[in-house]
Amino acid sequence: MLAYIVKRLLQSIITMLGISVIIFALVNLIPGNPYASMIDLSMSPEQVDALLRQLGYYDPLTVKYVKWLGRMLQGDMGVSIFYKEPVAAIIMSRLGNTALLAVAAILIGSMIGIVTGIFTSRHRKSLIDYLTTIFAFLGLSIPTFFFGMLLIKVFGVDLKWLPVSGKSTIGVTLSGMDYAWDVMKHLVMPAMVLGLMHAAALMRYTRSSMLEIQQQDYIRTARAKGLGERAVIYKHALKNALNPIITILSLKVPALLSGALLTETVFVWPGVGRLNYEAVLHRDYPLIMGIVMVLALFTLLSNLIADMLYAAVDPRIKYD
Amino acid sequence: MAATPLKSLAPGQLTWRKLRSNILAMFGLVILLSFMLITLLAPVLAPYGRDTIDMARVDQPPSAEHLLGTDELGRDVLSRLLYGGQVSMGVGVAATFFQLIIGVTLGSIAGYYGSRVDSTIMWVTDVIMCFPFFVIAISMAALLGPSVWNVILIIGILEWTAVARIVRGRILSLRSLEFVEAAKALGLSRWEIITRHLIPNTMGPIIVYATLSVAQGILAEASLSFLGLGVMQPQASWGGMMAAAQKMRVLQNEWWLWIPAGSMVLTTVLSINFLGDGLRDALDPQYKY
Repeated sequence: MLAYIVKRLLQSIITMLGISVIIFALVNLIPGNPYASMIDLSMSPEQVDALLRQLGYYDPLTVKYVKWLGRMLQGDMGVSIFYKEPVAAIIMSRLGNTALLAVAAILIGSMIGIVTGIFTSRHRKSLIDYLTTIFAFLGLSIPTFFFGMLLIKVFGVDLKWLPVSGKSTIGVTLSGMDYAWDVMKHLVMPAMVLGLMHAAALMRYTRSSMLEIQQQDYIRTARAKGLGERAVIYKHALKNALNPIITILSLKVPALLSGALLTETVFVWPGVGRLNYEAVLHRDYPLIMGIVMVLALFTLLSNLIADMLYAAVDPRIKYD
Repeated sequence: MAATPLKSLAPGQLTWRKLRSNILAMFGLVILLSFMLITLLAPVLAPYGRDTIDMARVDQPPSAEHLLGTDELGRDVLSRLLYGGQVSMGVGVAATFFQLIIGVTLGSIAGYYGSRVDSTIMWVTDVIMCFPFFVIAISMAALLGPSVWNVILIIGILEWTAVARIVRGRILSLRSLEFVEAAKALGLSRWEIITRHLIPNTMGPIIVYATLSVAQGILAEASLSFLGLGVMQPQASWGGMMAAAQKMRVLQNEWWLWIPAGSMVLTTVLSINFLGDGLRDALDPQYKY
């Protein structure tokens, strides 16, 4: 087990180096002088030259990379051109909102997906099975932002049941439960939109996995020893069908973050995704690169954790 | 015990038979073919030109003259929808071809050569897969600038990893089989073995993947254009047309500017997904994503 952990850690570090090379390449594709934001207009050309020399503008590419990586490792991702604040601090201030949205979406999506998945696997080839399958396909096919805009139009604009944008009502100071309730109302639609795609994928996975497991010998044994259908399905089949769900969820992390970008943009949810979109609109390159770096590392980390959890949960996994 | 002579079917016929009995897949195929036909015939079918501006009739709701109304420049929405389909579907198909070229090449090299070559290529796919698609896509679009070709380029560069993994996995399991040994013994070159014997045996999953990836490409193009980072005006695309709804006034009152375009994307992507799922059942039943 220890050897497996060490091996996976080493692998992740090598992948991380790859991520940093790609981002560094993108940084170097940025038009103009990347240090332009640090130069004061009142400086003389000699001073500018000295500053650029000190910052490493004239260094060969490999030296630049090593210096850049060193700064990144210390958490120094530069200063945002638009906000004039350190990139790391801006990202940190938005991460919580994205986490709230993502967790709500995963909860909604997993609940709907797993429950309908089990149900349809038990009523295979029934009318409900077909209808649910078609709904799952619809969920996988509708553009995220289109679904979001439809919800805004119906529930926000026409029926006026829910607020259409933001995280809380602007201009009102609420506290305690009132504030939580206000945020909840703002959260419902974006979480539904982000959770839907997830629910559809998970439903299809749960259904096929449940059907497959019911053909296994140990399920036949459980039935043969006289266990009731409920015990067979929920205690024996479901447990084994859902083991790989850790892996499935972790594989969905990039898709979730990607979907969060569109969802947050449509609903003006103040998370990292919306921040990323605004940074692109402002051509705020240090901020863009910082966000890409943080989200890629987050994806890598979640895959690593998922692999280890999975190895811990399923004794059939070999650690070599 | 006279054996009844069974008519043997070519693999293509067998697949078609299975596919034909799948109602959803056939539904998808019919819708898809008719959409392709009407968008390709846009120059003939469209009642107005793509960019014909009529400032006397801006933001008009649907009427007999303009079946789907007009936009803020008085352009006919139906005509733009037809022309936009060419771009949206074209990008989906072109991006898929681009992915297949990179993915099949690298995947088969990795699978056949193994060892260092394999681990290097798989390292690259691992790295690319760490980037959430839209996060890196809009950043690249910001650097490259918005255009149809850049959208195709971005989707191609970011999405080839899945097909590379599929092809690599297949070839890895095929390369120790007898027919490959036989091909080697006959003195075939590596190139011939890979292109004539191994890749044809991975066609099933490649076809399924390619079909579904056209749908992903259409969704990606629609999203990028919606964000203003894809296809630019005056060129029409379904996603670009939906960008109009970022204005609250349009979202609230002018449904004809964005709901038809969104429905076209949804219907097209849904049809492709139905077809792809049917193809998977027909070609490659044991294969799962």
